[in-house]
Amino acid sequence: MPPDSPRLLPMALGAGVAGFLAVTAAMAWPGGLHATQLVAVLIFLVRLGFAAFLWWLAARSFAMLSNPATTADQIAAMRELPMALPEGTVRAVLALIVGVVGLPLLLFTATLGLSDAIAGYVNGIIAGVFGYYFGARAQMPDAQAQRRVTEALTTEQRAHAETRAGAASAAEDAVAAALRPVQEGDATGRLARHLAVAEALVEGFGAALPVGVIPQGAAAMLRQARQALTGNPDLSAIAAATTALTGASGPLASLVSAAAPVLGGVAGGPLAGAALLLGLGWTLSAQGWRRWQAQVLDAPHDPTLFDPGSITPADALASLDAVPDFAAALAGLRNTPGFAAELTDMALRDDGAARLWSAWGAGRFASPAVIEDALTRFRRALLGTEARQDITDTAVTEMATRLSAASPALRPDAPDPEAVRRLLAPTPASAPETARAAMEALTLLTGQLRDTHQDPVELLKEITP
Amino acid sequence: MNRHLWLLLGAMGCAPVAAVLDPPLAQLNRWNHALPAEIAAEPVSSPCDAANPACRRLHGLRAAACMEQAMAARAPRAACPGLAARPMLDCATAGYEQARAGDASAVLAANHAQALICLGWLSAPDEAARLSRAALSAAASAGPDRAPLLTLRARELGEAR
Repeated sequence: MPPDSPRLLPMALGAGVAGFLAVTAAMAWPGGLHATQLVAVLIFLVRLGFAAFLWWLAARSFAMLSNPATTADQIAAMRELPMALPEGTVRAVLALIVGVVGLPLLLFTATLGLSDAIAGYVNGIIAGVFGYYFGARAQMPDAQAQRRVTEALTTEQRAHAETRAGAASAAEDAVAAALRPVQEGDATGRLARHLAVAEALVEGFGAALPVGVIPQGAAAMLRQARQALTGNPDLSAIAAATTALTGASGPLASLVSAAAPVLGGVAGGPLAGAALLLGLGWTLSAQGWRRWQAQVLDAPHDPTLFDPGSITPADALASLDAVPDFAAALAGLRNTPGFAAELTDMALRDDGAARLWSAWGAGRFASPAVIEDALTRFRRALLGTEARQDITDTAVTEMATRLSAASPALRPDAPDPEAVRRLLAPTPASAPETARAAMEALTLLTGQLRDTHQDPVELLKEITP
Repeated sequence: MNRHLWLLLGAMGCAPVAAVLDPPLAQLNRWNHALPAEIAAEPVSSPCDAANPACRRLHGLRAAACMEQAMAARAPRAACPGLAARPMLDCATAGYEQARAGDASAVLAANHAQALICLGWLSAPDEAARLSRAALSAAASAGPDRAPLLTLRARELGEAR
């Protein structure tokens, strides 16, 4: 067991030195102790001092290990030192031992009766050990300086690393703190967008729409969204309200699904057709949008829906094919010079029916009322021809590309522009009432989104019908 | 005072003198202050040498006046007029053809193409096909802002007739 106190060391060393002096004095005194016995005592004392020194080292080591303030780095650093002592201590002790034992042997060679050869060996050992010791001491400053520099660099690097880690952590905290309002802002903005659309659908058009077009829980969704947007922003509440509004049972998704039966024929499915129509309607020019609305909502004829000078005789011939009974009645005139130009001219005038009756009515139409009815349908077809020309192939392709980021059901799959244009026809009377109403509501909603400069494609990307 | 009087008299006598010496120039002088309807109603003085710059100008003015009359007869939003405007379109196409001889103006070419297309829709199929080709040729010389639409409409005429 190691000693409790290092005070044993000076006592042991003191005893060793005192013994050494006493033995030396006894040997020098005439008639003293026998030389061999003295040397044995001397070696014993040196060993005793050495044992005391090791005892002291062990005590220091245990004391350091049991000290709570000792860090793992310090223990690791101690392991790299010889006997966990300051560098050079072991060399010094060895040199001391050689000196303490060897020098008396040399001094008392004659007294001890040692031969010259042994004295030479001892001299060589002492000289070698001392030479090594002092030689090492001479080189030590460089080594120490290098070690200190290395230690200083290591310490500096550790300090820098700690500084960097601290700075990185602080930066992460700062970024997180800075992003928090942005994330909240994004989430709030998204919910606000969908809430505005839902309000328009539920509270604006809802009363006029057949039962089932607007989901039953829509009012509760609106309340939830409004609560989430009031007071301090709570991301989880905002996310829950947004999920409710943008889910399959949300108002917009339900409306798109309800309109789907009249929007078939587009690759990707009817929902993709609805998405395409909404997106294209939003990108049209003001005049193009007026034509779109008039077409889908089957509005009465309005000459201002056409751009000045835009209706050609070729348009009239193309539109005539869409009104078969009218085309059949006029079939005999089709190849006469100026027929298409005259038809265009009469159809675009307010008194067109009377002109038609006067010029071509006899024998072809039963009454002016029949002509009036046919002309109404012909004008609608003309509007359709113009509206279809508003939807260019490029616009369809670009919109399909934009919708490729929407949920799979809303993605048009390489749509045929002509198929998309056909969707612009007024909803047939045979279509389900729910689908007709949903289509009209979608058109009105597109108009509202145009007025508020809100891109429906961005909304569509966020819903999952 | 006497000098000013002579100048006034000289100016008053200039037009009759020019009408005798150079009738196209005199007509051009009158048309510069006439209404389109008046120009459309009056033929270009004959003979009118094509090498005379005043003659080309006269044909251009009359073509523009006839075209304006024809287009004014269109129904609202229509691209071309009905049969009632055929004489005006005949006048316009003939005038533009004369005016474009020696004048590579893109505006004249575009207006010529427009007149040919509208006339084609009022013509029998064979004549319409010929006018369609002529319109395509004129549209090719029109400016880049009008050429595409005119070319499209000239093709529509050719395909429909």
